[in-house]
Amino acid sequence: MLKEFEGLRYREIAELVGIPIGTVMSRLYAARKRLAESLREVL
Amino acid sequence: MKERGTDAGAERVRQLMMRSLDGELPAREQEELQRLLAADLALRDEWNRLLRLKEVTQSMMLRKPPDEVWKDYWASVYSRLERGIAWILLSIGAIVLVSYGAWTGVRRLLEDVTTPWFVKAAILVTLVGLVVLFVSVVREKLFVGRRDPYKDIER
Repeated sequence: MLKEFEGLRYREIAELVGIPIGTVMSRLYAARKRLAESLREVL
Repeated sequence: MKERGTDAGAERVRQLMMRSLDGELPAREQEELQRLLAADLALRDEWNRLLRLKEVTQSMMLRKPPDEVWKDYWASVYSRLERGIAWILLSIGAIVLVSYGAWTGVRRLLEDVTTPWFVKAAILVTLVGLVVLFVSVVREKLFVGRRDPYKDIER
């Protein structure tokens, strides 16, 4: 949500949520992977 | 592929893909990602899927609640009461704090024998001006209120 809809940069998300920037990317990857699985037929 | 073989390598590749997708990958690392993609078919498939997903998510918008939802919300007595009470409490607190702060500052300046006379005079003139302004606004509101043709109409 913070990336796709609010357009925040990784560093901003990390500061806002209070997690390392690497974790931001890992969570984004996991979320996108799950979303891609859900939308497999559309993609 | 060697780099993806380890956990650290796989994590690195994922981060490169995420940063590239979101436009946060510098050119040098972009080249590294391109090399990795060229050497790994499975990775390329995953990358293409992520690219399509990015296109989809970029075209998506959060649906705003319809106007009826807001009308229902504000039609609720509790919602209106809650907001009204909050504003009243906030206003009272702010007025008391600002007044106390202003009065403390003004009193110090007036009691201080080193304060120049024209500063003291300016403070008094400002205070008188504020009082007159306040009275003037109150008079105006009362005047308009008495002549408002819609004052008895319920919102």
